[in-house]
Amino acid sequence: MPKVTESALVAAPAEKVFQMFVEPQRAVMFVPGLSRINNISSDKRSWDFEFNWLGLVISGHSECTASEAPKRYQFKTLTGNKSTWTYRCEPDGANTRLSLEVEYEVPQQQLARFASETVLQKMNQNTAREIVSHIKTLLEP
Amino acid sequence: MSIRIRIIDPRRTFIARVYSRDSDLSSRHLWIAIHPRERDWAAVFRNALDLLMEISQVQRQQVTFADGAGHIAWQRTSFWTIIRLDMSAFSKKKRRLLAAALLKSARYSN
Repeated sequence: MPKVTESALVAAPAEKVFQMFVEPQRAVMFVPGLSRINNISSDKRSWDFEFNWLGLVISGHSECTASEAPKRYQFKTLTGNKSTWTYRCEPDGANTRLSLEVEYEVPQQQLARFASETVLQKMNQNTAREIVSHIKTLLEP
Repeated sequence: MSIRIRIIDPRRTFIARVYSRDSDLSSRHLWIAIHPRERDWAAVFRNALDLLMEISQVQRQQVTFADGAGHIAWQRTSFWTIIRLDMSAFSKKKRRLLAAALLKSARYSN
């Protein structure tokens, strides 16, 4: 599967950075286009998501597959285009090196919409960059 | 997963951005929300600020955060609400992100 990665140094302890991921609904605040997180299970290990880009709505189901506080948080989108999202927090002095890796399937029918796999890769890379940048911005003064 | 085109989302609250100003030290935003059913704005914004890891306090028709350096106030009529967001703390980039997140919450939260 293709994958994109992004990382940034965040001026916050790893425990605080990790808190951004453990509450699924919080993702709406820093993931571009993500409009709703619903039907969160009581253990917060599964949820439904909905993206909205100017009226184009993409919805699906996700499950958390690893939550190792404060080092690694991983979830998978299980329906439609499967993808695996892994956040890693590595302490760096008083700061934290935050990285995000997204592995994703490239469905052929959607490929036509995006014209080429390269364009899709670039879009995903930009999204990952924005997410990491937003988390850094939210956690710093 | 489903992919669909939905020009009108019945669960979404229509909100127009009327005014927006960002200086180096402060930001001000004015939005108008049109909603046929009543909305609990205090709950909407308090929940959003909680997700943003900001400690907030609900007062009458406004929520304050960032030790009073941020506040979001609303004025309700029968069918629309005028919402005003003011922030005089944080970096310009963070204020923009907070404003976008609060607007998203106002539009999409139930």
